[in-house]
Amino acid sequence: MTRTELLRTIRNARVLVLLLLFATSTALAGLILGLLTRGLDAQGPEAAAAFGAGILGWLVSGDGGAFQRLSELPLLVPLVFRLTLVFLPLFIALLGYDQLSAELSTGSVRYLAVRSRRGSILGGKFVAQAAVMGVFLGVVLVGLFAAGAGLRSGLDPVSYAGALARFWVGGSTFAFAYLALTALASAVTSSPGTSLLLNVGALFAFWLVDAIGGRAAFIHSMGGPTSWTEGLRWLSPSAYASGLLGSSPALLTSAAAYGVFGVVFLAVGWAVFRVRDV
Amino acid sequence: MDAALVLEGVSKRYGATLALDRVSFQVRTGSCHGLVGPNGAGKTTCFGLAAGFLRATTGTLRVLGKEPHDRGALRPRIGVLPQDAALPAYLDVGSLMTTWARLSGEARPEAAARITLERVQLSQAWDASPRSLSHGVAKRVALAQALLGEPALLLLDEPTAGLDPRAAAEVRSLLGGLRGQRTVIISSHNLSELERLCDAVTVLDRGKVVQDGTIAEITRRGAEFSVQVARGDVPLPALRAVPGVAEVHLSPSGSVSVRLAADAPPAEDVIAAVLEVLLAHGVRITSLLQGSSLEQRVLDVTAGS
Repeated sequence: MTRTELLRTIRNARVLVLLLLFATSTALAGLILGLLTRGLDAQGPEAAAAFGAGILGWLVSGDGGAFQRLSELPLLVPLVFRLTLVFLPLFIALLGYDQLSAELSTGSVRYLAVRSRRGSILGGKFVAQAAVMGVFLGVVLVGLFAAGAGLRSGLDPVSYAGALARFWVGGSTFAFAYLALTALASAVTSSPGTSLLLNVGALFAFWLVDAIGGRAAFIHSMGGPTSWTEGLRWLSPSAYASGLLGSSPALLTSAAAYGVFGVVFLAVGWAVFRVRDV
Repeated sequence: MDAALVLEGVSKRYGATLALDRVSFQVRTGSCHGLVGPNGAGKTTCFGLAAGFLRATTGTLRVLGKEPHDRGALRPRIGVLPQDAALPAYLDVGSLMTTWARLSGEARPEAAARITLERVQLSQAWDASPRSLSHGVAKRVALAQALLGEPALLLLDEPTAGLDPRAAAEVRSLLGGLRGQRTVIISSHNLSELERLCDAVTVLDRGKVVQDGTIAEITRRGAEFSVQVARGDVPLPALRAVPGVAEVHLSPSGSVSVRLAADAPPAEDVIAAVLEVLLAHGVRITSLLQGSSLEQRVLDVTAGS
């Protein structure tokens, strides 16, 4: 099942175009930010350090350990990585919204359903997408770290490679959750259009919940009243993204949260797909 | 009866539409069974339920003694030709067939795929993209995939629909060759085809079973016959006096319908006696039909649909 889906994914022109588009966009963002940070360096180390501290402070929101570790990396790397996490869910939705819904709409899923358990069909498609995404994310991150290495000399290769591995693990668990959300949307709908709509709608709802909760938390941190909406944000996967850049406990918490989200999305998708008419 | 498929009080509802209403029938293991009825009668829903694609709203369904959703137990044992299911376009025919053969439990998937394509005379389609296939060829590929894994039960929904006469004849010949080797359930609007291929049929109409039995029972081959006469006076009193004849009717078109009594001697003896009487009275006979055609029976029992 997974093998067939892998073949299908890598032979799909739309998927290849999307992968290329995402890689190009990331490279472009890296180029612009690289030129910007290089310009700051030209203005002097103090200006660069001040700008970098401001950006990093915003990225890790008061996580001192993370701030220290990220400051050892070229600013380009965490900045582009964080930017990637913003667009990755939408990219994943575009990549896999039709993985099951298209087969449901044409009836071709019946050729599989008569031979395989529904769970194997859903799982096979998910694993294939996850494998492609894992490799793709690795390639993008290697490119990003290579570009970063060109901007700053004197980097410790071991800790730099360690940071790459941490980013890849964090990015992969993040992608796992959103791939599972896409699989869920595709498994419960009967047309690709509806699947995409549901997926993007869910992304927007998650972003909204995170924004509302984040605003309440910010008001509270500034001395304002507490609100029940403050804790609401932790129900949204979006809330855990900054933790992927954080210190080890924050990274582990975020990765675990994405793992749980992924498992829940897959479990719901499987529960619906298992009993639905195809 | 050793049944390959058992439906007991099965209903299926799609929203407000009741597609099947407490349907019960059985399909004998090793037989060829037809599912017939007008459009919307519930044939495809029956297939979907038996194949495990759909879930019954109420009732019990057993396929080869198992729940049709228990795909683990049934996986290698059912082959399905779904109606109007497009072939996936992302792989060529050979790769698709090989994948399906692997999933069907074939030990040598590629070899099995090639052999099965040969059975439907489509070896040349191995490298073709499903997008490039004509409707008829795609249908035969779909039929071929149903044969993979040597399934014990074949569910074929409209196997010859859209095929040209030669291809349809080849498919009928292929299906005829499967008789006795496995259980085959066929849904078709081509009733003469079903009459030739099937041992028994279930007639559905508006979600209900309106007739169920062997072809002989449904067409009443042993219970009535009709003789088409060209000219001559039909001696109705003499015919009614033939032992075993219960009722004789002469239509304006010259068709003499004879219904046999319940305790009549074998139908062949009564037919011989009736023909003798007709010939003795100088009646010219053009044809004889034992029972009614399946098509006529289906039209009779589904009248008003």
